[in-house]
Amino acid sequence: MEQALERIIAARQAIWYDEPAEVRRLADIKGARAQGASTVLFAATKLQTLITFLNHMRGVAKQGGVDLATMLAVTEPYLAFHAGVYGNFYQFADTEKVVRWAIEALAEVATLEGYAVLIGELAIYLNRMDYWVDLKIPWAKFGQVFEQEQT
Amino acid sequence: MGKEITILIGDEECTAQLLTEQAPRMCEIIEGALPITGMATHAKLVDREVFFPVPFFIDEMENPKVSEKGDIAFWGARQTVCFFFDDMVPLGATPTFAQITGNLEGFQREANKVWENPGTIITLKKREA
Repeated sequence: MEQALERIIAARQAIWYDEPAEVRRLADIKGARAQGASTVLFAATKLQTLITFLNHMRGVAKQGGVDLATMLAVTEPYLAFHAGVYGNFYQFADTEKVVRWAIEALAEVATLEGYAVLIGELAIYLNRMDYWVDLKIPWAKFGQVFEQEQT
Repeated sequence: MGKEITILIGDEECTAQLLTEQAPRMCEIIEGALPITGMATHAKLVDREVFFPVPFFIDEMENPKVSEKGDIAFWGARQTVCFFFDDMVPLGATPTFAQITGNLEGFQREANKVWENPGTIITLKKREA
């Protein structure tokens, strides 16, 4: 698990102040009617769903009194689903790789504490990714257009 | 009286007071992590709030309060430092570890631009003697 942790932390440090190339390219992935807005918006949503899950699971693990095997059984397929979505839908190859490192490391997790550390580091990485994606969304203009559409 | 820290945002330098009595553990973690630099994003539901993510957790839920103008809080669900820079309607109580006490107007000038132009650099750092 230590190797996976080191890799996830290094991946996070690499994107903390520098926009990831896969985020820079995101809006070029066109969705319906040749527009990239839905790609960016949906990528943010998919990052957020996993971040929320990870933070809640980390909280449950830190409270204790739960069964580690069940926690792992719930977490592994949820991570695998999102890894596939990140890679296939949004061409987030690096992020998919990071999530898969975490999946592999789950097999080595022996305690709830270790689970919380691993899941926490993944959450921090994904959190930073999501805020990079958020910067791609022109919220001010989007809000103006939305309000015009309501009238 | 809590310790003072410096906040740099855009072209402005501001002062914040750590609430060491109300949130001792949170202040200890924040102080230990200084300097902290992030890129500001504007909140989408709460008006007059900017925030940035940090690469660590604060699990202590000290000093949860309904945010007021000048409050600096930590949103544990997203490892995010939040700055409530003017009157607004908050979504609920947030663990609050500091308050902007000097040049709030300058902070507001810069933070107000973040809605249109996100990514403004904010740095929290120790106050130089």
